[in-house]
Amino acid sequence: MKTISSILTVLAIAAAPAACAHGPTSTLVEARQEYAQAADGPAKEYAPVDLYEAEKALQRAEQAYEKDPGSERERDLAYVAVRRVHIAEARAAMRKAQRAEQEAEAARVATLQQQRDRSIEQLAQTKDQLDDRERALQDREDALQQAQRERDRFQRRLSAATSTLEGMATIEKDIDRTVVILNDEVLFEKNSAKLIDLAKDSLRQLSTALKELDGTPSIVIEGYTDSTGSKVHNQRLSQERANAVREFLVQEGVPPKVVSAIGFGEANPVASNSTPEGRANNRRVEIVIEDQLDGRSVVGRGESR
Amino acid sequence: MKSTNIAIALTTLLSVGLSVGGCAHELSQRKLVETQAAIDTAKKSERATNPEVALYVKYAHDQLAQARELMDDGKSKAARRMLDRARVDAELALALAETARSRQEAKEAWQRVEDLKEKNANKSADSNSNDFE
Repeated sequence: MKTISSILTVLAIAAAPAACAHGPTSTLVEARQEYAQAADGPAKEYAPVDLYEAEKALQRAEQAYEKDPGSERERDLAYVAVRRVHIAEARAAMRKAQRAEQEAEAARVATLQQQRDRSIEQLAQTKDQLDDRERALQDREDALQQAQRERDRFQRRLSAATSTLEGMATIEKDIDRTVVILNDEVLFEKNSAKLIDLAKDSLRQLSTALKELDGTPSIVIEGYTDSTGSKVHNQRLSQERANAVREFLVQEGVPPKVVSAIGFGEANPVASNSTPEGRANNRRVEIVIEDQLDGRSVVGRGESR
Repeated sequence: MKSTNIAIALTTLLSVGLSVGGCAHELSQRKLVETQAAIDTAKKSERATNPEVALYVKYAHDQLAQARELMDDGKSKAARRMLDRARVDAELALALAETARSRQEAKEAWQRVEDLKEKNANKSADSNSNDFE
């Protein structure tokens, strides 16, 4: 160190004229040592100005020593020099601590930013989840509306289809099915399963309309009789009648897969069998037309009772 | 820092005083007052209860009293030097007080960072179980 060597040079020169010279005061010795230590430490980097002030104070003390070694003046100035060195060291420690505080603050800001970025990311994820959820809900709603539209269309066409039978048939509309009820007089010759011409005309129109239905309808033809005659006979007749209607519709182009025929015999009467009118009402064919949109299995009205 | 400004002001005054050279007694009088002010500031500093700070405040105080005596004895040069000693001790006391404070603030700042990191760690542990499904 330049400064230390200059001090040592001063010491050498000062030591030369021995004469009646005192040695340096203990304070000056202390000042030299303290300064040498401080100049080699953090004060050099962190408190150069204060260290320089200490150097000047030490030089003033050395000058006093040269002039009058061991004097009170030398001691006083050396005292000040020692304190100046300590001040430089204290200021260096302070600045180091200030820098540490700044670094801490920077670390805190960085941590907060990290937190914030993470929060933003989480928010974005949550938003994405919400968006997905909303999209799913919207899709479901669209699907429901679509299904409703298709059902409505089916119903309209079905109405169109069954309107051709007005006057001849009773048409019952439920939410999920339409039932066309035809009495045996408008369909068959007495006690037989042979279709009459009038019936064929009507059924032909019905089949045209049925063929135009979208989706997958299911058509169940249910035959019913009154209670006259044996159960076996009535069962057979009702089945044959149902079949006859089915065969005709299929002949007219309704896909066979969608049509089925069941005979119920005297079961499920709709009127009392003790009056002629009642019996006439019980002798009927019911055509149950269902929309298959939601994939339910075919269940005719007869079986669901 | 106010106290540093006082110290700077005092040093400036001192150098001006010396170069002008006027009446020794008057200068010493002024120096006396200013040195007392520096000591008072050091006493009032937050760390006055810090033993190291208190020690140098005491040195400054005692040396100021000695300076007064020397002045009364007519030893103005010695009195001036004693005042310089008193003042530099007051300055050292202040510097030590400021250093202690800076160290404390740095310690607290790093503690805040630690607390924040710990809070972070806890929060992310919670929020991972927060996925709503």
